[in-house]
Amino acid sequence: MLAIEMANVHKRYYRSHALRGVNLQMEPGKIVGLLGPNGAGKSTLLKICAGLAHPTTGRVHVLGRDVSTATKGLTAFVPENDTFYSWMTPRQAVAFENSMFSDMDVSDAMDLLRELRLDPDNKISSLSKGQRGRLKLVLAMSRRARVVLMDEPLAGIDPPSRAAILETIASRYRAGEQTIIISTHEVLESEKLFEDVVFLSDGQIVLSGNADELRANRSKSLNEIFAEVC
Amino acid sequence: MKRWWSMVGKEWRGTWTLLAVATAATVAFDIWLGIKTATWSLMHMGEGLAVGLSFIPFAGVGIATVVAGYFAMRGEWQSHTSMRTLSYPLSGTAVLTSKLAVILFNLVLVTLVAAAGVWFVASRTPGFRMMMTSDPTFMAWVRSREFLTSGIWVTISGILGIAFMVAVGMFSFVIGTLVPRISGLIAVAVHVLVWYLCFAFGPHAMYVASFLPNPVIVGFDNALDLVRRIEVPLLPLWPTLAVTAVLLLVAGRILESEVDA
Amino acid sequence: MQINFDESIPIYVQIMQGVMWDVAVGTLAPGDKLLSVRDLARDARTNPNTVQRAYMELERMGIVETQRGQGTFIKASPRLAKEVRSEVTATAVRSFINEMRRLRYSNEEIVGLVSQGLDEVPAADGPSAANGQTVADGLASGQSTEGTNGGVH
Repeated sequence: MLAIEMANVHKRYYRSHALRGVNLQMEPGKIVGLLGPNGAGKSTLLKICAGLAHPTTGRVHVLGRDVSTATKGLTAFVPENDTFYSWMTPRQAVAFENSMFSDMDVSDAMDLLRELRLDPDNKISSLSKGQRGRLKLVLAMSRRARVVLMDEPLAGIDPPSRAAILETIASRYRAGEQTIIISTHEVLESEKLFEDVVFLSDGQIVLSGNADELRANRSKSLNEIFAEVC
Repeated sequence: MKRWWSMVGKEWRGTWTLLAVATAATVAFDIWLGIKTATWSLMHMGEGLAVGLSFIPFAGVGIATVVAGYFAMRGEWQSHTSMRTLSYPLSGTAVLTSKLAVILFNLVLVTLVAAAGVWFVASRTPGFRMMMTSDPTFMAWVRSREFLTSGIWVTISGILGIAFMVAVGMFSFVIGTLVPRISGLIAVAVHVLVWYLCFAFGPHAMYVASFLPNPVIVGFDNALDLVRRIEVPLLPLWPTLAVTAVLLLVAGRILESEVDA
Repeated sequence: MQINFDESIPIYVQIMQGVMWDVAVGTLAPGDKLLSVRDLARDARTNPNTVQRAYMELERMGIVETQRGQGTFIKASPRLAKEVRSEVTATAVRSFINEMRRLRYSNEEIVGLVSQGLDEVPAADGPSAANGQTVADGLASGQSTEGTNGGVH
C-alpha cells in the first residue's frame, strides 16, 4: 500500500494553476524531500494530502484511502505559518492535540519539549519564531502518525533551532512505520535527511528518485541537481 | 463525542474574556442606571428614562447575534488557526456546532444579565412599579397559572432564534470562502438572501407547522375594557429548528469537502 | 566519528568511509560497538535508513557484524585493522595519484613532490596519531630539556 498516491491532480486557484497534472506514488516508511522553488506548489500538494485543500480534479489516496475526515486522524500536518491558538501554553497545546488524536504520546511530547528547551507553561504568544518552529515539530513528532507532512519546517528559523529540528527529525523518525514528507526550497541543510526526493517545479514533477542514487549517477549534490532542474 | 467536547472547551477558553467584558459592562451600566433612576424620575418626563435606557444592552446583544457566526469563523482564517482546526478528525458540522454551542451560551448569558438589569432598574424606579401593578393585562398575565410555562417557552424560542441567527452567519461565511477575493461580499449577500427566503417562505412553513404539535404561550389582551385570555401557538419553532439544522449540516459538508483552510 | 559530508557523493558511502577510517586509524578497535543507527543519524542529521544501509554494506564487506538487540560491532578479527588500513590507504593513494595526474605531473615529478612535501609539512600531530598520542603527551613524557639532569642550557 502506498503512503501517498496522486493521479492526475490539478489544483486551480482564482488565477493560478498551482498543480498541473501531478502523478505521484510514494512508498511508505521513508523520509521524502519535496523540493522546489517558491510557488512550485509544494504547500498545495501537502495541504491536499492533509485534507486542508481539495483538488480541482484528480484522485488522491492517503494510505490507500480517499482523503477524508478519517484520514486526518492518520496524518500529521506541520504548516508553514504559525497556526497555534496563541492563548495556549505548550502544555495545553499538547493536551488539546491529545484529546483530538488517538495516537499522541503525551509523556514523549513533554520529554521533547524539554529536549528542545521549550518552557511548557509559557504562553505561545510570547514564544520566539524559532521556539514556535520547534513547538510545531513537537506536536507532530510526538504523535505516532503514519504520515507526517512538513511544510518548510526550517523557513525563517534561527540556525540553532534549525539544527535542533533536523536532529529531532533524524532521531525521532520511526523508520519503516512512518512516512515523512518534507517540503523545502532550502536544500543545502536538509538534503542528508532524505531517502527519496521529488522535485516540483511550476506545478509539475520534473524529477524523482532515490537521493543517493541520484548523487551517484550525477556526481552532484541534491542542491546542485535542484539548481539544474528547477 | 469526547472530541466535540474538547473542541467546545477550546472555544470557551478562547472567548471567555470577551464574555467577561460584555457582562461586566452591562452590569456596570445597569447599576449606574439603577442609581440614577431615582433622581431622574423626579424630572419631568424622566420616569421611564432609566428603564428605557436599560434596554440598550439588548441592542448590543442583537447586533452581536447577527454577526457572531460570521466573525467567529472569520477569526479562524485571519489568525491562520483554521489550518489547525480543520486538521482534526472532526466533521465540518461538529466544528460548527462546537462553536455555536459556546457562542449561544455567551449570548444567552449576556441576554439574561441584560434582562436582570432591566428588572433591577425598573424595580428601583418608583413610578414604574405602581404603573405596572395597576395595569390589568400585566397583572392578569403575572397571576395566570401559565406564566411560568409560557416564560420557559419564550426563553426556548429566544435561544433557538439566537442559534438560528448564528447559524446563518456561519453558513454565509462558509459560502463566502468558496469565492475568493469577494468572500465578504458574498457572505453579506448570502446572509440577506437567507433572511429574505425566511420571510418569503415563512408563512408557508408556519402553515405546515400548524399541523404539528406546538407549544402555546398564554397572553392577555385588554380591548374594550375586558381582559381576554389569548393563546398563541409558537408556529415558528419547528421551521426555525429545521432550517438551523439544515444550514449547519450543509455548511459542515461544504467545510469538509470544498473549503481550503 | 568525524565526517565532513560532501553532498555530491552518496551519503551511505561516506558513512562507510568514516567507519573504515576510524578502524584504520585505530579509533575503533575490533569488538567496539558502533553508534546506534538512531544516534548516528541524529548526530549527522541524516536519514536512519541511510545509516542502516551503510551498516549493512559494511557487514557485507565483513568489517562489522550486527547482533540482534545489541547493536553493530566491529568484527573481532585481529587482521581486520590491518586489512582496512591497507584498503583505506590504497584508496587515499589512488585518489592522490589521480589528482596529481589530472594536474599533469609525470611519475617522477609526483615522487619528487612527495619527498619535498615530507620535508616541508610538519608532523602536525606529533609522533604517531594511531597511538592517540598528542603533542601534549609528547611534552609530558620528558622530551623537554628543562629539568633533566645534564641538560644543556
